Amino acid sequence: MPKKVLVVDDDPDVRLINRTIIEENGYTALIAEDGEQGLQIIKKESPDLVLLDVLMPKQSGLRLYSQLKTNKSFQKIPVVILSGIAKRTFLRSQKALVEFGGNEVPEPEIYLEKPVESDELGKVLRDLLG
Amino acid sequence: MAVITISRQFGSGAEDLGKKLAKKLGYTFVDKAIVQMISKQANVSPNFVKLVESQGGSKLSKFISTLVSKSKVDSILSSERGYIDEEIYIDYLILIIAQIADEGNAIIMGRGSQYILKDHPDTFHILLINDFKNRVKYVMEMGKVSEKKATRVVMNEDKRRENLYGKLGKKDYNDASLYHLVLNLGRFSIDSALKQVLTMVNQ
Repeated sequence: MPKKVLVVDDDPDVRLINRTIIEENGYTALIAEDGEQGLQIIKKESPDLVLLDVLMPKQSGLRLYSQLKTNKSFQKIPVVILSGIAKRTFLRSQKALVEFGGNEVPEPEIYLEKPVESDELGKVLRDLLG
Repeated sequence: MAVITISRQFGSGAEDLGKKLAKKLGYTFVDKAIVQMISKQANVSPNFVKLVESQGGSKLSKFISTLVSKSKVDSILSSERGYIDEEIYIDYLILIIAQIADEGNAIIMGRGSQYILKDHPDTFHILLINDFKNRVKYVMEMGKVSEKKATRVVMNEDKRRENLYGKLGKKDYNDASLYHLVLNLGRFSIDSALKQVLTMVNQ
């Protein structure tokens, strides 16, 4: 049974490219257009890895990441943040979210700033999933 | 690469100071542009964002029974393609203000930026206040409106601010300890206040 990788991104081009990279590496791609849809798929499909964008409609990646890392059922799922937002901005935003009542969460396993080369993403998938 | 956040009472004259400060320092002045940025990100109109900003309570539906007429809410919602509520608003607000701050050299007006950038390096937080009478006078002059209308506007804006901060879970926005500098623009001219701020930033 191939491992499942969930792509959560509002950009259709990014979704298509990532789906191709995931499938080329022998994994199954699951697709969500925003954080809300992403959470539903995580609950239903229990993916082995999540590729998560940050700025998305309906629910941001910032919020979804925090939800995943504070929920015992999901916190062990590795999350790779794949965003146009710089890592330091994301980390500061995480701290600010705590200021507004959010929970403290660990830093993401891997943070990739867009654009990402397909070889690099493929290597990350193989390193994390085997 | 400094960032200055300016929190203010409506009608205190803070916008004038913020713009002058931005010009003097060569910084970007960020005020209502944040609404545009959030609306673009959420795929909703700026009016929808303003509605979320201006109303208290925890759910959009609550708006309908409170301060805004149902027809106004319906007309805004029916033209939207995306969606935004208070939680989404806060996420975008945090991410957008953090991005602006990381780029540096910016004056950011209000919207909880003193909390969002609380520990951000090279950031100064300023609170500008003014007497109620002066604030009403300022609105009368700027908006060319009657004293009665200006009074109502100032009171409504105070309420909006209270709602917005309440929504962010913050009630202590007038607490001086949050800020590097608190200035009463009823006791300082804009130019004198400008000098005070520049001294702080350049020290």
